Amino acid sequence: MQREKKGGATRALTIVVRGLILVAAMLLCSSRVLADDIGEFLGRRVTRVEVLVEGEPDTRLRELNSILEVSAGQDYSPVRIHDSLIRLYHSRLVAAARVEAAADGQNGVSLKFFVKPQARISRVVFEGKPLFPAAELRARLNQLDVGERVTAGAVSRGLGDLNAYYSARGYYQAKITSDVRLDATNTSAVVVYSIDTGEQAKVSKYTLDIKGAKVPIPKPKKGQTAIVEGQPFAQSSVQDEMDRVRDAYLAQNYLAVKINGNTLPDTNANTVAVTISVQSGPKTQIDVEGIKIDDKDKRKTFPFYTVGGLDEFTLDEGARRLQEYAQTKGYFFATVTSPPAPDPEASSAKLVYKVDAAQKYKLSSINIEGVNAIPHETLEEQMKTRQASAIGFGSGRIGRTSDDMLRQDSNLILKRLREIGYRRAHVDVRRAVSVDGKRLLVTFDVKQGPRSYVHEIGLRGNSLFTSDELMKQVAIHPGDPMTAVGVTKTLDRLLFAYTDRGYASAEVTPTEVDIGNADGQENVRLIYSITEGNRVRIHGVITRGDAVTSSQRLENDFYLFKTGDWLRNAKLQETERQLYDTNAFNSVVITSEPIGVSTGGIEDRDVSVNVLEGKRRDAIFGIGYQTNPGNVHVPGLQFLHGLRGMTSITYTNVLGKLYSATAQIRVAETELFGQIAFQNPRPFGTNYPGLVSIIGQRLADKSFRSDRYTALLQLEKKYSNNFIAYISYYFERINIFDLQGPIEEVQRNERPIRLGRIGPSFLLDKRDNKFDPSHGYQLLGSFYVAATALGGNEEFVKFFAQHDRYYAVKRFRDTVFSVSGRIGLAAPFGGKDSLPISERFFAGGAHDLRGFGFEEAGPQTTAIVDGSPEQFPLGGNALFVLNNELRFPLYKILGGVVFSDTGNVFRRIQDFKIGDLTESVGVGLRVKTPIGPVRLDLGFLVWNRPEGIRSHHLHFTIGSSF
Amino acid sequence: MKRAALSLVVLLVLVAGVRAQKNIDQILVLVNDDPITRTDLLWSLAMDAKAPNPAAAVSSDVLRRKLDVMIDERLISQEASRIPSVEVTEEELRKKRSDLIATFKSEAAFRERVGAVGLTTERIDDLLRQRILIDRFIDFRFQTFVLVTEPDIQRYYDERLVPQLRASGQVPPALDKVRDRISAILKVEKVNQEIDRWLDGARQRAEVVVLAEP
Repeated sequence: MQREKKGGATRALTIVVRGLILVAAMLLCSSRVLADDIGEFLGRRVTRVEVLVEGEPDTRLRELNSILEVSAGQDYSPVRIHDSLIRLYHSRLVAAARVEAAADGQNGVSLKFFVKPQARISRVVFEGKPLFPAAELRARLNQLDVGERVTAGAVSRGLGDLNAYYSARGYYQAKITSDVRLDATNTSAVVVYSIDTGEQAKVSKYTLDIKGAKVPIPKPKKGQTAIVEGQPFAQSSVQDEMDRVRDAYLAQNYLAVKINGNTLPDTNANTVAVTISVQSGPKTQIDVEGIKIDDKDKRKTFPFYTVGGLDEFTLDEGARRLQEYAQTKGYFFATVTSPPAPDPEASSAKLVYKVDAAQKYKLSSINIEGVNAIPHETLEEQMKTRQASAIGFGSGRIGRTSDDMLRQDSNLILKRLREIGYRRAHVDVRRAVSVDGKRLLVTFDVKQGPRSYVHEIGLRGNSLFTSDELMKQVAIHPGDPMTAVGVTKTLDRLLFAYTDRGYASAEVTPTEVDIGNADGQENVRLIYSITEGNRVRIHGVITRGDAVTSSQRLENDFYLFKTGDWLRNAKLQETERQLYDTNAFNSVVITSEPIGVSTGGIEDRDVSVNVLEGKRRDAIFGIGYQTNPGNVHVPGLQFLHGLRGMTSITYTNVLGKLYSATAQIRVAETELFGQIAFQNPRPFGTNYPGLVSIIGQRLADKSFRSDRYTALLQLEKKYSNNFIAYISYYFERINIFDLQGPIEEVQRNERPIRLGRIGPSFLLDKRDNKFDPSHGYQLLGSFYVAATALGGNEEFVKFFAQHDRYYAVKRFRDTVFSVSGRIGLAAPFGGKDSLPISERFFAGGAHDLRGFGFEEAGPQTTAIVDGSPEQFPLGGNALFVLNNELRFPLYKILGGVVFSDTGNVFRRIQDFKIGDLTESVGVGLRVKTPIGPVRLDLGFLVWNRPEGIRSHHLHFTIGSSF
Repeated sequence: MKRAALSLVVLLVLVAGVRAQKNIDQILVLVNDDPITRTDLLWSLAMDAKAPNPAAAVSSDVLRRKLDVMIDERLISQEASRIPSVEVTEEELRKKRSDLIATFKSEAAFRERVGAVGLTTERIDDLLRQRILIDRFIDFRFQTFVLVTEPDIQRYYDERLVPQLRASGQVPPALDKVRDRISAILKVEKVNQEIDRWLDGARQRAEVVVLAEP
């Protein structure tokens, strides 16, 4: 009974306790969003403010206190507390935050801000069987770059993007899950996508649903994919198929064809049914009345032949282009009427563009009136409109213009005038016909207006530099004309002053303020408004896209910046340029991204280097032809009969260290050449690219043959994009064979030659185009010392320099005058009085003195060959060649040249005499072809023709002179 | 028994702790990276005469519903901020303020209610400015393009008004007499439909992250 009583009391107590627990739990869990929560502290004074960070705080989070708007000593303010929370979040250092308050004494309140640090992405990885390269998958993701904030939305969107990516490739059963793995500090996270692609869906059915006419669809070209039932499906193959179907219909003149693709996936069966619907529309014949236009030009002129669609808009666009075409053919006042759109249900249609061509004119004169600030020739050279030319063919004979060209030319004149300060310039175009009604006269009526001058230069917004310091950077001064070059140059210099000190986000904006006219000139106040921004420090350097390349190699040897440096834009640009120079990357983009708040005027940013690696293997093939009148050949290669070929294979980015290795072979009737080379762009971390190469060459010259084996060590220094210098050491072994010449020459060259030579060389290339230059120049030079001390058995010095200049001839389009000078000097020392014959200079032939045959210039010797005397060149220690050439267009890809070649080869330097120079003149033809230029030159030796040498030579070459 | 007592002690300690340290504000939701805090929610309640007074206990359901409304407002506000707009004038602000106060019993009641949640006059004006910008956006984006046609009015009259009045034993007035009224009702209905449609899309496009329950 006692026990029962005790048991009953215990039960009662238990019930009471459980009740109290329930009440306590309810108190804990009940909604506590009451005004009392914040209102309770109104009127109190803040005694203490703390920021508490969850996890292991990152050092950057120490700065959070400075973000708050609330501090001890202030009155308690819900507004300030609320705004502090918002600021904390917008600092991008915080993912979530809350504030707790507690009474502190009678009138005080202490505040605690609890913050959850913002995690940032350190890596995105793909686990499982992703099938596709990680770089390819990463490119599909948005807002998931390294350094970005981790958000559930971005991770989930990434999941969607990946699902879409796999679906488009037929992986409808792909199972992809995401995970975010945080580090101990909760500030860095690895985003992981686990991918199981499943089986690729197969095409269950392919239907080509054609409404209207049927045309044969050609088989896929190389590189195009096709839809085949039972084969794996990919969305790209649907697009390829649609393109192929469209092209087939357009080729058969179904110009209004409409193509739609539809895919119906069956995820259970893992198959896709593909339907491509075709509405052929009518077979359309496009006729042009009033002007002759051949089928090829028609297809080039009318847009619907390539993209299809015959609606009102494309037909009108066709009319506009046809008018342009007529105008370029001399029908400058042609008008075109476009036909109506065809009935899409019809089986055929005939559309006729009617051209009222009017008179055909020759554009005999282009006048630019009212311009004295720019030479008219300079403007005409850049204009699209072209005057008729006496030496031209086709459209060149009648000149070339159209409404569109005249509009572009007017804009060109305006632009050029405004660039030099004529800001109010205005251009009208007048077209007139001559009295005889056959010639068109075009006049650009220009009102230059007053020129603007800089009256005053002002700087605004600068505090880091004094105005005096910045004014030293100003490239335009009061009293100077207001030129675009001056304004832009100043802007660049001011910007550089800031960015070079790490103010990477500085902005400079020029503003022109008119301050009135005086003495017929406009005066302008030029104000540069500067936003200095924060000084930016590099917080981290992240390399992306480096699938093969070693990021350590990049960071150690290529990046001109590192963590902790001030961010300098110039260094980023220079690094980009140097990475491009390695030829290992198709794209290099270096950007900086803010990572958080700035304190004390210093902002931290991560620098991202995004590279897209290029092909690692590159093979080049070349083929050419050159006449070989001398019948000189390397034994076994005479079957080539002038044909030349080359192949080279280059491996870039060897071992991911950006080394490159090249193997090259050249074969010609006169030469067999092989080279293997290895280049390290940063030997020992220095910016002096080094090259090690082994070369073998078998060469047939007119009077001897030689085998040359070379080991080469070379260091390079690139001073700018145009100027490169080298220092090279060669160790060579040369054997001379079949030397035709006097006995002393044979004796001189019978011993194998060993050369150890060293010297500098350089290349300065300022040509506008390396393959077809029209202006600029190129200068190259070399100097070598060969000595026994360098491992050889011959001693001499040798110097060679070449300078080529190109001038565009004004008033004659595409006409270029080029002049090229070559000088070579060599001198033996160490007891010998001549160089080995293989090291001497030779001249004569297609590339220097064209009045001569191959190597016919200079000292010769006579030898009896097959019973008849024949001349053989001996070369010399001095060479001088000066080529003058005028190149002009004739018709489309055909061009012409007239030339004069002056020069000769001299046995010794002291033998050089102006009177001994030879002179060749001649004419030639050039044809531009995809495999390089075809050259035909006929040279006449008109001055100092040596005995036994023909007075003229014909040279024919195909391809570049590689 | 011992275990229950121990649990009680722990809970009481927790309750005591929680009561001493009050959660006064917290980021609840991110709407396209734009935070809404618990104080925002209280202020919104305080400035809504039809909503329960935040000075009294408010149920979780009410708070969640209010939070949903605030998320929608934030979406509209974000869209409105993309459209260039002239600054809110003092006149507009004054009118909006007096309209708001008029919805309360008295200005004193209004002041007491907003004061209890720490709203200052300046912050009230800021919130009213945002509301004016939202109103302007709704006016520009939705009202301008809503058209009420004659067949709409006729249909409303025939199919809704007349049956409704007849059912309640009243004689329906002639259409001409109620045309303007019907037009206004239909316009409001259509604007609301447009806003709902737009909000459906905006919600789908938006990234709304709930960090804490209200």
